[in-house]
Amino acid sequence: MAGESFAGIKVPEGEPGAVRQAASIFTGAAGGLQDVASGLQAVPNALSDWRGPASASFRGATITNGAALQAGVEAMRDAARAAREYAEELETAQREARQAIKAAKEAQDRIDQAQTDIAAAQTAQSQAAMRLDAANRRVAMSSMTGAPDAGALADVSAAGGEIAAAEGAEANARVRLERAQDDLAEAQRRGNDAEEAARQAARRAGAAFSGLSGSTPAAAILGGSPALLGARTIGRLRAGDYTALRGLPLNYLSESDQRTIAAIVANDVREAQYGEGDQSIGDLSDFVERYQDDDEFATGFYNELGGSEASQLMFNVGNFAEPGGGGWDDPGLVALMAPFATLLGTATRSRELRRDFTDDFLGTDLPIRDRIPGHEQLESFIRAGDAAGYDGRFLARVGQELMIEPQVDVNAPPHIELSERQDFMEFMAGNPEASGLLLAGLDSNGHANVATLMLYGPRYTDDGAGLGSMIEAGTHGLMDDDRGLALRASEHVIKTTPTFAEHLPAQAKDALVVVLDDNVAGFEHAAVQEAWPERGYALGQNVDLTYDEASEYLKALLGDERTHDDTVVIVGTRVGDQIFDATGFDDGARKSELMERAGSLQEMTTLAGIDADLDQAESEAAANDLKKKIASQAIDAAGGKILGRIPGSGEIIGAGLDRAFATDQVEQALVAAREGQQDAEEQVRRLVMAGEVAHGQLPGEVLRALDAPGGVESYDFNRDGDDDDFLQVDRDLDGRPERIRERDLHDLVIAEHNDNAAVSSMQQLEELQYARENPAGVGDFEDALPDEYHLDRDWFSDDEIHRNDGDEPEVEYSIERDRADYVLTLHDPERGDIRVRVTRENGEWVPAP
Amino acid sequence: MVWSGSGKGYLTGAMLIEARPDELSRAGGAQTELAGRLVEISGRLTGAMSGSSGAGDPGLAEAVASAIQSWQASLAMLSDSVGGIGANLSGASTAYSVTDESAIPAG
Repeated sequence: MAGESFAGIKVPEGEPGAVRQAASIFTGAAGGLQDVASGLQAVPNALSDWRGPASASFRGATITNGAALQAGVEAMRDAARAAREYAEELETAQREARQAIKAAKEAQDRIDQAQTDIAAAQTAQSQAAMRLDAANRRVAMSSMTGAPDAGALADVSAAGGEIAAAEGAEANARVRLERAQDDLAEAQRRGNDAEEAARQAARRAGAAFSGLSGSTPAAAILGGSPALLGARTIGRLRAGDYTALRGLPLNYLSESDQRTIAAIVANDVREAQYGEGDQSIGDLSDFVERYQDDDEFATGFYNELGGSEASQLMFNVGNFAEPGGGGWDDPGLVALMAPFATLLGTATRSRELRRDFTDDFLGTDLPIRDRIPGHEQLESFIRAGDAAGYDGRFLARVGQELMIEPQVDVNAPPHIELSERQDFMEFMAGNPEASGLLLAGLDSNGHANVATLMLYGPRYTDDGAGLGSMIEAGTHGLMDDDRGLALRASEHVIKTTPTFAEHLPAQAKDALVVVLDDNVAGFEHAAVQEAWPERGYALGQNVDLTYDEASEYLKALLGDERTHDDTVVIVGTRVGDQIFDATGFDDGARKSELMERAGSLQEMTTLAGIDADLDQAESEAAANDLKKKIASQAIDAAGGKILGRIPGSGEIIGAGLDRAFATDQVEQALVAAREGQQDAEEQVRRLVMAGEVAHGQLPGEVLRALDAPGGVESYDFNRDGDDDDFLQVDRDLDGRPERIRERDLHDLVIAEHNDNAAVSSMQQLEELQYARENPAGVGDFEDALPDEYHLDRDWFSDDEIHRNDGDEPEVEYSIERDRADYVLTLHDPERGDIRVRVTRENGEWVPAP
Repeated sequence: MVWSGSGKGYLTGAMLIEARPDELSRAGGAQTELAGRLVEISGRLTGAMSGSSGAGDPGLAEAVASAIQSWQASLAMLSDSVGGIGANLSGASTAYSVTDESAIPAG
């Protein structure tokens, strides 16, 4: 067991069992290699009829590979043997060390015992000496007066005997102590020998395994071990011999040698970028291209240069290599830079790149105005690589540098038109993580990056294609790989859009629709939270928005011709889906939640559409009834989706379900009128029934029955007056279908499935919206005031509230909204705060019950 | 298919080319299978890493780990080589057949 030790003896560490297991793996590997070698050698025989140059090359390669493997077989067997021998020797050394420890412990016990005995004997001697002394005194005293005291004489004799016995015992213990100490020393010597034996065995095995590294099949082919070839290659490269790496796979060498080689190349690039040294920048670019995807090479190269020199390289390659060419987009220059840019991408994805690299590369120690002149080169160099090849954080930093920071300080000369970075936006879209990070980020003043990008709005010359691509990549394109970041980016877009939507170019607006489509569940949550905050419905992994944020975004999209149709379809589809799913649930709570969510979202969208329409009416002479469009399209989309799942849906649509959502009525309902509201509720109920039909819980005839003209009490399907044709459904599951009247069916569905939840949600939000837009004034509380107070209306100044007693002192008050109600608080200095509430009834504020 | 017929072969300049595409295809498959076995052996060597940690002596542990890594890198290279030859054999089989079939369009 590792860590066993005693009296300076240590059991050698190691697990012989694990080493033996490794030995058997080596043995198995040797057998496997032998089989493969035999197989390889057999292949040419099977192709004995093959003639031609390729066959000769094939035989040569196969022979080389087979011979290399055969050499490896022996090496692997040697490794197995070395491992087995080491396991044996280690086990023996451990056994001997443990035996030595056991012997040492026994010797130590004997030493302890002997020392105890010695101490006891010495005590006995001391005590006997004292008794002897006392007895001698008694003898002396008695002798002065006569004959010595016989008793004292006897005591003298006894004490003398005890002393002699104790001395003997001490001598005996000392002999035992000496022997035990010798035994302990012997045990320690044996322990040390065992340790040394283990060390020697490890040294021999280590030498064997070091040899094994140089006996691989690759070493046989390439001509040496990784260490040997690494040293040789590094030496030749340092002498400028770039043929040293020819035919040598870089990954065969140790990681440290790979990095050293890359550093040598970086050193040569230092000179070549100024047209100096033995290598041209073109040759080095070609050389780098071979290893541009290699982590070790990339890290070694850019760690050697560091960020500042890498930045210099970026400028100098352009300035010295392609002077007077076609600018920074010159294809020749791009091709020259591409390997270095790709290598940079590889390095940024490595965890080994030095931490100060990015800051130094961007030159953040300088103010932005001094960095802007180099931005064109920076963009060109970065774009010479593949966007997806860069680490997302690095590319986002570059994006921040190129697109955001120059806009932060408007006084920073020269002012950069963001339209000059449109192509870079398209490029960044190739890296969703970088796009998401940029969209979710803030500038150095703490403002959202999205605001800077959107503020530029109408001046983009690509119709917003670049911005749109980047928004779509950083939100939609990231949803599967990093949902958290995608949601953060989406939130920034949603919260920022309303301020800038009006002037956004068209293709950027298309991305906003995609954001809504991905996040409609978050909008729905904002709506249901507003209508039913007490429910505490879970947000899930969705965008976290307030009602106003969600509503304003919808308003922006609904108020724009480019986006409103898609917006209505997205919301309508969601509402329809939720209602459809709700009808398939037996769980009442879950069913209610889905219905409340659906109702809330539908209402929020409709209200947002109404607001959008009002704004639009100011600018459009021909006022299009957007409300009507919203209502009809949203509900058609929902209804159509449900009906699409119902067999015979065409018939049902023909029967008038699509007409059921009478848009004028819905419009009225959603704006103000209670009657219209009830019709809107009716449409939800019909959606519920359509869902019931789709789930097979009701027959399809139900829908026709509901739409039958005048079919209030019952419906005769084939109109022959025969009672047998009346709709029959076995709702109580007693095996006997009951004749169902339309009213029964209607009540049944409503009662059982609580579609009132959706209707209530619509009413809740509608009332909240009304309360918000039509706040109660102090005059609305006149009837609600307690008898002890009265309202003193003053047409020339603010209304006042006074107490009725005494000299009718004025009482301070405050009014605040509580969901759909308003509460007035009287701050009476004598009676304390008194609250009264008004609620909306028939379009007026009345005292709440 | 034997291109040369009776073993005489086609002469391209001084070059004799003779091939049985089906044999080339089979040999390509065999090479590919052998390449896979090398990968499998390399994978098995990972299990021997426990021997490295169980060696006790730090120097020996490093030597064992280093040897195993070298071997795994080596076997990966060899597997690539053997597999590449296998793919080339299969490709050659197809190329010989297609070239022959398309050399002189059937009248």
